[in-house]
Amino acid sequence: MSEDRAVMLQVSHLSKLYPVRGARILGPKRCVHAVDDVSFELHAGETLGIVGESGSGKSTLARTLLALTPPTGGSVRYRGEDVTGFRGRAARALRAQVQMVFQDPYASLNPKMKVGEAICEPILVNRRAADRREAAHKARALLALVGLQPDMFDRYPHEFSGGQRQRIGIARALAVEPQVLICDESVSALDVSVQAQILNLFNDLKARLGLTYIFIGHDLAVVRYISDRILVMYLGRVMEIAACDQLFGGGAHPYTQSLVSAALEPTLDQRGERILLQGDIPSPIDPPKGCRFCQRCFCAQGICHDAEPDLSEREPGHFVRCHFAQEVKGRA
Amino acid sequence: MAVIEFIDYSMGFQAQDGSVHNLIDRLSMKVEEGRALGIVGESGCGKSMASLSVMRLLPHGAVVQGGQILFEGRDLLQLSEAKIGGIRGNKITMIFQEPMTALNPVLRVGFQIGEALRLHHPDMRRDEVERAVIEALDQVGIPQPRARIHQYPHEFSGGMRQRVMIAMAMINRPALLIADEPTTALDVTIQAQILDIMKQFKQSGGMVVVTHNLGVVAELCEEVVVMYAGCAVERGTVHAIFRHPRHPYTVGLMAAIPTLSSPKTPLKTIAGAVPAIMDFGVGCRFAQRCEHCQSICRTQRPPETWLDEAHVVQCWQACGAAKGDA
Repeated sequence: MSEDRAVMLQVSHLSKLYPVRGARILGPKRCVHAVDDVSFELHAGETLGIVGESGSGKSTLARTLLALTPPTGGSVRYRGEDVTGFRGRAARALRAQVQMVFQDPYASLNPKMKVGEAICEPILVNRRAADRREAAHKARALLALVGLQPDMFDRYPHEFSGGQRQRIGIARALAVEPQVLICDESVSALDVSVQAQILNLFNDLKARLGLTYIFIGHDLAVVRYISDRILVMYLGRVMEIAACDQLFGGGAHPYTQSLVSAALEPTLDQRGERILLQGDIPSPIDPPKGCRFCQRCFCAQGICHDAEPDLSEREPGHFVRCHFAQEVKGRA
Repeated sequence: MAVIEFIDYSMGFQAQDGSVHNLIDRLSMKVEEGRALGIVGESGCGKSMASLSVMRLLPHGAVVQGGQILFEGRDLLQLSEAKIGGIRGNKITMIFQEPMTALNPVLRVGFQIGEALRLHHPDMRRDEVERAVIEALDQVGIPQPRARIHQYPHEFSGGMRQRVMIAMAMINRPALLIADEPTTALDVTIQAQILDIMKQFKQSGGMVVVTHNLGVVAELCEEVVVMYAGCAVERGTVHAIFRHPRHPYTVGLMAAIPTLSSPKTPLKTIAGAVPAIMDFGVGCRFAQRCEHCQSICRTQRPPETWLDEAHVVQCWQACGAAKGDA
């Protein structure tokens, strides 16, 4: 396990509630519970995968970690320093250490800016180069690092395919020499053959530059492939944190089990009985009183509707938020 | 009997100077009653254009270059606009990827579902239409359909909207249902629910499922066509394609997908990207990215080779190998 490794990010009881506008003035104040009491540690050199359905708070969590939006509670420590809700200069310094690669490579590049300039910009803003020439030199090296031709420096984004644009997005993120890369659905918009290229690139860069990743995704097979540990979110809450082998080795949270069972595999091999969840993910404005998953859980009992379970350690390094964490047997 | 059959169908796009760039090149495939055909491929391979061709809903600038699309013995491409209007939404229906953009936000859901009935069966009474709509919603698993028909699309979740789309597509009991990326916009647990519903409807007619997800094909289809840059590079039964893929593109595609049991070694990739429509070349359209590429691959289009009665491949290498086997 990675307990002995340095802790890059220490997230404690982090919450982000968005007040609902248009609520009645005298009525009770209502909030969207986007991220609710999330705690975890990110160890140096690991890849932590975050999975969950849409609306589970994955992206809000990423934005809160980067201080792009201030949290409403809890704290984030980067290498021991409290960086919760940093603003201005301090936030920029943090973002030179922790960078983000976005989902849509078509939307995240300025169409009127040559890609070389787009990579130079963060280098100059963060004073990683003395002048423009040095920045351009670095940008060419970065293009080569992510598998593009250095002479593509003078081209515009529309001249590139989706996979190449994502490589440019990665080069921009790496331009400030960060320690941690947060990849928010970074391969979801790509075709499968290109997705494999980018996943390999992430692993390659991790080995070469000693990066630490937070990899957010909804495709369980992709997240499993790239991650060392996986955090499962549901309605803003952490339902389970475990090493990959523990998570897929059976005995997981009922929600994780149903995610695994619903994943479509490109194979004709016989598989276990599919757990078909009823209904949709409930509204994060009025999350259920008990366990957040109780309405859709296939093994919910009375207590699940009344009291929310704590995140308890089932075995070393394997945390589950379920009343029956000890009893639930894997259906693998 | 085949519900729908493509025979050497070709289409392309007209450039500004009047020249036509070919996209779909001599596509042949058919769907049998009660079976589902999956069309898989990456973006830009022409899979959506193939399905829109059936509906005669090709976008502006698209040109049919040849071939036939037979439905109930008639060539859909030759029918008048009035005749195709009687088939579209009635005997052939379609489910689109994004249910929010496919539904009209200012009309009640019940009205929109009933529209297909009122249009194609003008003699139906209002209460008959309403009863049919409620029954259709009930069949796709929407609770309290009697109340739901008076609601608007924004009051439905993503999965519920896709159920509405299915109800709308199924209400005239079509002979052919075309689903274009039916679950791509949905979460995995909802995707499983929708595929379950679609499976139930397979018995009543033929189905074409357009998708980039080989998992959806494995789940839903009996037959599959793998498209690359407008060519059906490999087609056959799901069993033949998944167990014994022969085209280098199919093999590469399968190897590139991480699964829940794949080892964490580097993934196999296909170098490069899909060529643009102007750069298809005269030979095999996959030649630039193929690791088995030979000189003939760059100069001549490979013919369709029947490996057995359930497996066809367009590849020079497989073609030569097939001769060697015989």
